[in-house]
Amino acid sequence: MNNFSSPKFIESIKRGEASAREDLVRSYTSHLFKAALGMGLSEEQANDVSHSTWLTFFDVVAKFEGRSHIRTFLFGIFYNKVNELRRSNLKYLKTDPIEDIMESRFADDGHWSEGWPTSPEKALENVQGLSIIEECMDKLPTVQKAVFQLKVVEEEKNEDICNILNISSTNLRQLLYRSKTRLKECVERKGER
Amino acid sequence: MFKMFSCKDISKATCHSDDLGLFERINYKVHLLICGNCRKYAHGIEVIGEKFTEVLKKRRKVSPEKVTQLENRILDSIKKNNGNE
Repeated sequence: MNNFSSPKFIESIKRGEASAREDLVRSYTSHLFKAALGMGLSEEQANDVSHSTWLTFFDVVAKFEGRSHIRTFLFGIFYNKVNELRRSNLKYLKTDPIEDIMESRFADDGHWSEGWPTSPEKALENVQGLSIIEECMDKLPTVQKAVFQLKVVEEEKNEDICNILNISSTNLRQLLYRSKTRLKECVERKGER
Repeated sequence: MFKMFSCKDISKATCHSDDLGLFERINYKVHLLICGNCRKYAHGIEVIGEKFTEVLKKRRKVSPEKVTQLENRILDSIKKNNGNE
């Protein structure tokens, strides 16, 4: 298999060599397809998004400057496609409702307020635990789901995640905080019912 | 100046606990050692993270045949596109 980072390989991709293109498509399509399913898309949508990611990739690859790995470039296109499909906002937003909720859980001196924190374990104990997680997960903004998937499931390096989603490392920390905290909050609320 | 983490700081740090600098990490560990509330919270976040991962992995399961079919369709349409250029 080719070394996808080598300048020679990048050149052959830019020239449109069929065997180089095939190598790349065979190496990363399953990644794209799985990532699309992970984002909660149907199988049909996941097929379409993977397909159109590649078409765009080969349309614009001439502009690829080689500063990041080619996979990072590909995934950047992919998450923008998912975003278009979802008509959501992949941009980092300055605030998130969970921040106000969390703010109210603490006293002025930074200690937990009386009665907090609560635990999600009871809500997850029963058989519906995982379906509650799924329900809550689907409510997360696209960018928060994307960060979690890239970090925890794909085990991408922080630097690559920032490049793929076009965010800073401070944004990345904040998005992980928001996604996990929102999920915990949502699970506990549903578990009360 | 070295400032000890408050519980509020911990509630944030625990969501990216693998990505703390040396001082942050010590600060974080010492706080958890002495604060039961934060241990409870950190554990809750950990459990949520594990379940989140479990659901994602379950969703991502796909048969190799479907992937190969998709790859073939993609390669076909790239070839067609190239022919039109």
